[in-house]
Amino acid sequence: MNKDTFTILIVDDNKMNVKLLEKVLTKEGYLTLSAYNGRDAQILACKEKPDIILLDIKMPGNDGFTVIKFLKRQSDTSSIPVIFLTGLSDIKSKLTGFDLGAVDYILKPFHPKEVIARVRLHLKLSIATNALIADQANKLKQITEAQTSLLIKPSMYTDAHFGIYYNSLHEAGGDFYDILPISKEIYGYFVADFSGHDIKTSYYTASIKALLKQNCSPVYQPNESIKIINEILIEILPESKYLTACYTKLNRKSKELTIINAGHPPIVYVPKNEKPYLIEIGGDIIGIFHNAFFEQKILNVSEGDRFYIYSDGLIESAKEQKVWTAGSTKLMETIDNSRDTPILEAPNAIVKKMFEDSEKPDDDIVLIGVEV
Amino acid sequence: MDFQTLADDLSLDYEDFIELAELFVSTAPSDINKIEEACSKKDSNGMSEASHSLKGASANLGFTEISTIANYIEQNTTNEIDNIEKKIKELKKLLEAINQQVNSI
Repeated sequence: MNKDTFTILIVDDNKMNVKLLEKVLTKEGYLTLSAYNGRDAQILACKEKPDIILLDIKMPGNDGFTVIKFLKRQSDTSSIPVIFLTGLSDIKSKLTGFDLGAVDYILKPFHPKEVIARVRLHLKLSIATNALIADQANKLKQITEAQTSLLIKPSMYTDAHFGIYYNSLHEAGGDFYDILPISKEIYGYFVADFSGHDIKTSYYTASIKALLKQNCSPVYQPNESIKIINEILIEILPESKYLTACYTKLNRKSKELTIINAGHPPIVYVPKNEKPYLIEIGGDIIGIFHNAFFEQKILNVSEGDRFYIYSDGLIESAKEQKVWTAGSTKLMETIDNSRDTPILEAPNAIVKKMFEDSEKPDDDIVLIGVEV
Repeated sequence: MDFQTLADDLSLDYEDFIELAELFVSTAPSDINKIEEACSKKDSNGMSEASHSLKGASANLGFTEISTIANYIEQNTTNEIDNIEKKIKELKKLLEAINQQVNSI
């Protein structure tokens, strides 16, 4: 759309009224479109997406109320301001109009100058609103980009032997993961899920990344690292904001896997030649309780074993009312059947399989697969 | 009727006003016919709709006499038929006067 020209759709079954408005508005430099009934108005509005609509209420066939209901239901016409233009002066029609989403009312007979003034006012409001929306969308986009840039790709640490599926449905996602090179042949794998998906969350993910870097070192045991991070997060997170997380440290030299689980779904462990199983260990959520308890489990592992850390979006679905137990059974089967898929591709293949019969996921999803 | 004054009242050019007046005299008979037909059928809704349309258009151009009568009909559709027929005659007369004035320009 050329921002210097604005198009106004005039809808009235009376030709004289339409002509009068055309003349008045054209003279002011607006482009006009005209419809003499509700049906044509709906078609024209969808096709041309005018900047404002002047809509008569009383028309044969689809009346103005029917037209506005239709327009507000369509995503590409729902934000077009509608001004009702009508001879109906009773309060009930006015209120119905506003309830249905009209921005204003002009009573017939109208003075052309009043129409122009109101059109101008609502165009200004609409421009300002659209600019605000564009500005906010742009900011959110920057946050998404910044958030994505914090995420490690498998190609950055080839020794870590992992594959990743990460999909944030929201501009400011609640899921976060990190891969930490602790020393040669020792890597940390971290997955977290923040409560809420608001913009603030994306700032906290940057803090978590910094905290992990500082505290997941050879000096500390994983449960010590998580305890320190928990104490700091209690200070910086707002009340009622918390995260569930799973942190594992894999030492490929000593063949030991240390696991901490802070209220997060359990890891799926896949021994090379045996059935996969869940590793269920206790732990509080992070960011709420001082002196929180985090059980630590150390597992002896063998080369070729795999394990998967994931967020609950993979196995739970609010939309389909899929609960954890049903989802986890399917996950175990899917993981078992993907043993021959290279670890780099396995997470993608597993997510694809998990959602092949259902609608798109309705929450953020992260799935990390690691091969010993 | 002074068309120039009516045009000025609407902040319209004289030529534009005449064009709209021509459109009005060509479309208004349809509304009046609808009122007449509805009246003979005692169709209260039909009378109300057609007089409503005529009222809006005439009022917008400043043809207040026509809009006053149209408004009367819209509000009194259940009146004696004789009375409404009288009003319709008045409408026709007023419209014819405008028609003649437009044509004489």
